Amino acid sequence: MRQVRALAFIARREPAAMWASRITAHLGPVVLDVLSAARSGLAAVSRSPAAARARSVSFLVFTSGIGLFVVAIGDARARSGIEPSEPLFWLGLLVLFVPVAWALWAKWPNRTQRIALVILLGLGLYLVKILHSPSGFTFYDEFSHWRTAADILATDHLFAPNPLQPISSHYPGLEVLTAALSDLSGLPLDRAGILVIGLGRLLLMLALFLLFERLAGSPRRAGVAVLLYSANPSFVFFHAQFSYESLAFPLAAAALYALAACSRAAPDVAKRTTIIALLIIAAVVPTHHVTSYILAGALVGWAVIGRLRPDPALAQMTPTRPAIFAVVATAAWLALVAWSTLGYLGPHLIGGLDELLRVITGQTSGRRLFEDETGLVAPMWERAVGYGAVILILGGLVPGLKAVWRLYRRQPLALTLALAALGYPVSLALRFTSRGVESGARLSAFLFVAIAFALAAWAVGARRKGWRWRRPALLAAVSVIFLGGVIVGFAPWARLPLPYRPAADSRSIEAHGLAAADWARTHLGAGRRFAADRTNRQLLGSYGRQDPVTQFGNSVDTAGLLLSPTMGQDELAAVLEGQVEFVITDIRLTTMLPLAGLYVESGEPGQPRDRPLELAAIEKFDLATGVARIFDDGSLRIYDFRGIDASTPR
Amino acid sequence: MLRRHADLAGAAIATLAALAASMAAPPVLRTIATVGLLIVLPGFALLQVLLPGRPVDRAARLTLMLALGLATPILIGIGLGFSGTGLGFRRETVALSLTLTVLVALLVAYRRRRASDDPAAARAEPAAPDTPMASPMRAAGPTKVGGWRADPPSLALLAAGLLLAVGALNVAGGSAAPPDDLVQLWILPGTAGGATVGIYNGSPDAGQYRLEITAGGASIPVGGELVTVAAGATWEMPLLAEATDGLRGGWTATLYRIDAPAVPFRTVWLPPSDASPNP
Repeated sequence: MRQVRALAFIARREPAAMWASRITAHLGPVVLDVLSAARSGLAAVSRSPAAARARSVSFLVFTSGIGLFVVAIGDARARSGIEPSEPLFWLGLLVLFVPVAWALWAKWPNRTQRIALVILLGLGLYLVKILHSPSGFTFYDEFSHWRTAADILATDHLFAPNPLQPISSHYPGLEVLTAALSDLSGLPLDRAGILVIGLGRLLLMLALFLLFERLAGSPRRAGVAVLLYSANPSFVFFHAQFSYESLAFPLAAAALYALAACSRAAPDVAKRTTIIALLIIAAVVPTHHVTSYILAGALVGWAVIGRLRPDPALAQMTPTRPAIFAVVATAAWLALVAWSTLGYLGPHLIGGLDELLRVITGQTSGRRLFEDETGLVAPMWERAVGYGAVILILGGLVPGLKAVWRLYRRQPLALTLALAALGYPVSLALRFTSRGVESGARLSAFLFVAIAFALAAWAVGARRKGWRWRRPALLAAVSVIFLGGVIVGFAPWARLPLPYRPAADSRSIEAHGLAAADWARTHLGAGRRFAADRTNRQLLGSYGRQDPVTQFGNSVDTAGLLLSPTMGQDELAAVLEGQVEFVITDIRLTTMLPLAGLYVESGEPGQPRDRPLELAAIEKFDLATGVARIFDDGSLRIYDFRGIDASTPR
Repeated sequence: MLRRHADLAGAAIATLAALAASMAAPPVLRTIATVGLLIVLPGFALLQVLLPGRPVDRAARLTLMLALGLATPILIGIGLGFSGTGLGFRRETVALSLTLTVLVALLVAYRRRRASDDPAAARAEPAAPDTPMASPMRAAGPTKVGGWRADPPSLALLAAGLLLAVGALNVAGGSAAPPDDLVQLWILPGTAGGATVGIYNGSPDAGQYRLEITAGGASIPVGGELVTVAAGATWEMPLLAEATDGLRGGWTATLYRIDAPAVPFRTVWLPPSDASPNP
């Protein structure tokens, strides 16, 4: 009680950032008190096994709350630059994950409780991302999709060109839903986005549980499979951000479940459920390119295997027509609406595979793992856990695939997943390439559905009696896989909301950039053509409603304009060719190397860098004749190039 | 009879109420109504049409309802975008389209139920057997569903867990303080050679500054000695061309902090109109 009073006193006297650090010192005794009370309470009232089970689930809600609180303290300390903060982040994640994992592995929860637990896990880990950026979007991709949604609201039409990510406006499913929610409810777009992705996360957990249960015939195995799925590298952060894949993937999982549910159903029910699946597939197609391709591929694989291995005894449905529908719908959308997708995805995939081949043949050295763009190597324990997670997955896949064959070989979808799991080593190999690392990371999120199913098939219910540490060992293994997923899935410098760093994506989103974007919108009006670095481009293009000019969007070398130490013919040509009206500079870029590996965009001059941007690159605009410096906030400056034409002397 | 269709009637009333609330209601109620109109009610209504009765268990119904609820606004929104009717993706068109979809779906569901009630119709077209899309575990044996007892310790633990989550959001959300150095200075061209100069003080405290304006190298007096800008406030002043005859030299505004009066804090300028070098 004394500690509680102390906390209340601190909360009254000091702002959150300060008392978050102080609270750590007081938290331990408070938690111990509460845990002790909860334990004695549970012991005293455990009159029946059912009541005890129910209370255990409630207790896990409580432990998840503690985990989240510890993560929040870690985040608050990181934001204020108080160390240590990262140990609290990892501790909170473990407190969130391990008790739920323990319960899902146990035999005592009934089916409803297992469903509650997977939802608790999914939403709890979703909140970890929200705690990272509670006041709005900070992840790089989120601004691009924010822009598409804002354009829908501003123009009342779809497919307006998106200067931040041109492909985003061609797949507007997420943005349509978010814009509708924002417009009707009055919520700001970012709040509406958080709600939509949260509902998507809820759907994902339910759909995956039911899909795995349908395949495995066991709620326990299904629960463990969802648990293992949540250990994938994209789960905590990437699939929790406001991005099209975060919504498309849950919908795809629901479509797969709906089709899987048709098996063993009465013909009429199966037919109607197929219609539901088709509606969901129809929503996936305009929401995300890769998810729609992978869903179509999975359905084709399922249909082909089902045709090759018919099993009338099981009355399995073979989704031939849904597969044809998915392929036709995906191809039609690609051809009629989103042809530019090929130009967007092609370089990633082909470039990655080409680089992989060159790495294999020794023509080039591979990308260094666990090393960021500035050459900083991850701590030893992170490398050990990251490698350990991969070894555990690869080691478990062999018996896992055997278990799938032994237990589920009569189910075409299970065999399709088993085949997909074989793609995991390929996704790992792509991580050794600079151009394919992103493709590999994205691919693993999909492959983990198959991997989780195979590992759960082997790990749950296998008869390995006589080893009393089996369950703790499995729990430790899945915890290592989970931690390894977080380590591999998100750059160490971005996991916590640490203080500002230039060109470091979420860590570069701070008040100066936000206020400058807001100033540009209110004082210059929307739709001005800007040349900007990576961070300010995202802010100006979203909150500022400006139109950044880029190489990837406009084929104009604005990176050269921004990074060159002098203002010469090439720079003026970029201004004129791109009809650049304004240039924003950030003097902080000259202080540190870019953690994201680049200041402006891929292929910029000076990559890879061994020293920060020269000050001359920023100051050259002060010396340019006829250029106005119309804005200055100490870090950011905006230059007006509207008075410049080809005849302007240099 | 009435009780059998109470859910459909209730959904229809809820749809109309949600439509009204989404147009004008207090923020929280409006958000709840919108989530209902946008996601819950379309999912429920379409599920009633496509899977009437109880052929699936509660978890499966919830999953399919949520999936349909998320998919329907996407499909309607895309449809509005492609419709070519000029209606566009507006608040009214989205809300009315969704309302119509839900009401039509509820009507179809009602007619189907009525048809299945009609003995003649039942003879003509036998209703599909109400075979559960049994989960494999149902096939293996009955499962105990539920098991959540709302006894005080459970509720206390649940409440404590939720409070901790809310507290976590509070701790994470409350720790971002505005930076001390967020002070913007700007100058924008006005009409007839004039300009507007402005200051925004985004720091947590009020700031006192000295603003120096020059035009063509000549200093222009700015109101009083000091400019005071409250925290979060904006200060603006028009610069008239008539105030000086040095316009061809361009405008320059320099801001100085009171505690460092000799060091320029922020500087902005508009270039001379004859394209001579910048100030």
